[in-house]
Amino acid sequence: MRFILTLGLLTLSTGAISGTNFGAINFHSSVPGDQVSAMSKDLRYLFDSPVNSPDEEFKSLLGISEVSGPAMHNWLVNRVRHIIGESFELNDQNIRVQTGYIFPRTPIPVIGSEAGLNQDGDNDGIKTIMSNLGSALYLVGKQGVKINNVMTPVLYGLNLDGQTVYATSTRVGIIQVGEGLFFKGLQVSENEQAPANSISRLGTFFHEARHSDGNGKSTGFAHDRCPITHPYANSFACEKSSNGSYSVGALTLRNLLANCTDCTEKEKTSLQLLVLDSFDRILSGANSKVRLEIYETTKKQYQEILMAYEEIAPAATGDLKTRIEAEMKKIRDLLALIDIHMALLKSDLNKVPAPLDASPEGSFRPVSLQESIRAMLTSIIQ
Amino acid sequence: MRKIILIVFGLLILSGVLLFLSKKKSSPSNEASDVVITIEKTPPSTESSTETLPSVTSGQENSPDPVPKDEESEEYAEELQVTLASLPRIEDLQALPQKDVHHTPVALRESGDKIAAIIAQAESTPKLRQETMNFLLSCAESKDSAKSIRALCWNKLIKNIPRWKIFLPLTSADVSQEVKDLASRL
Repeated sequence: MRFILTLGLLTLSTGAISGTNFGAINFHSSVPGDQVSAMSKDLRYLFDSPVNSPDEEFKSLLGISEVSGPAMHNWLVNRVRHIIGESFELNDQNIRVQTGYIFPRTPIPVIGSEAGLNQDGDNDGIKTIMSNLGSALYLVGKQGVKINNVMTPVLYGLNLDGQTVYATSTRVGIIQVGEGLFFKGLQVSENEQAPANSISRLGTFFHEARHSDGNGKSTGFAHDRCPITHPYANSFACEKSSNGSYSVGALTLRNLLANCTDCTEKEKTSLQLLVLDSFDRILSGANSKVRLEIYETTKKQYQEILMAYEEIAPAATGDLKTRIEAEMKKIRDLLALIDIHMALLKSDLNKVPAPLDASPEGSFRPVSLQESIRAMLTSIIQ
Repeated sequence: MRKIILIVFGLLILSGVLLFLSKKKSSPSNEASDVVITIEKTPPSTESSTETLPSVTSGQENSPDPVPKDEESEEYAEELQVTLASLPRIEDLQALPQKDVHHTPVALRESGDKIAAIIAQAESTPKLRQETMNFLLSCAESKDSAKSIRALCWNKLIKNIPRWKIFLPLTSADVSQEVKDLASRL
């Protein structure tokens, strides 16, 4: 009896569970139970996320009518439908192939692992974090295989717990999640239950979800090679567009961070570096509206510094007093310069560098907001 | 003889007055003042010209012991130097394989945690703030470091000057506009 009980507990805590669904997302049986629990918690956090300071840039990037928990959740479930575990293998048993499927007659972007769509596995002890397998399957199928020296498109599908899911669009949303996502060294907080850990994982989810978008050459929002001076030089870990996966990941993190009431300052700082790392990979530079925001932020920060110096300068003496006053003059000059730049920018607010077309191609069924809300509420009740 | 006695007596009075004055000067008169002025040495920066940075810290903010003890402060500065040297350089990150850099690599995440821990420590221990600010400036100026790390340091520097009332000549900092702009995206 004790043996059976122990076995049962082991299965519950670490073992694979049969396919399940939470908040309109299917978890394949290859996803360990503890990972399902963690991701379900993340989705619940997203759905319940309070939005006290909505991020307009985030709203515009995602194309949602309002920044709210249910709207963000709906955006995600339209791009992430199936989650499979690291142990899931792409072998004959799991892959289904169908010929005769007619793909849209649109150009094909650069595909494969180099483009950042399909991440390698655990070769050097580095665990897989997450990859958008559905997008890669769609593109590989669309590119086709050589039959009698002719490239023939094939429709790939996966056997997911007895159900065949074909990649008829990048929106098929099959995401492979690895142990790396839950690796302790990658956790923002030592407290596994901390919202900061959910926010960090959700940033990764939204990043991968963006790979389910696009059409023609923008299908899958493939990454671009980072320039030679970049920390990730030569890796396909950057993007030229202003609305790709790194933009989505950065703004998701920034938005969730700004509204996190239970994050400690330490956790916030750690998450901020993730935001900056993603922003640093966007090669197109900021558009006029964002540049204006940058100037506004800078102006506000320097004004606060000036006020602080005005407060402390009277108590300073001698050379120090002279230096503080000189610095204050420089800051005032800087503020005047910022005003000039802002006035110039305001005359050209519509300058947007290289956004890619995010509308998806292929055949898929969108999930309405009502549907995703209902699915989440049902999961919560259960 | 009378003259000698008078001179000795005069000298005694003079030395007594001087002693009284010097004691008064070295006593913690900060208690009465709102603002404490501290001038101390910046730990050597990784690449930019190292300058002695004067600082003004608010006595209200830093009470009850606003002036850092030299030994303790130096020890802390050394600790921060070790942390600064441990932050991943651009070339370290460039050596990582493609699959490790698709999402934020561990080394970068760890440096975020380190910077976060330093700021949290300074938040709870005001006498560490001056050295912390010097550290953040060196970090923001470090051209060998990734832009994201430098931007985080710059952001924390800018945000904490008004909060901690510490003077740093930011306008002469050797930090590129790119780093500053990235810092403003937070």
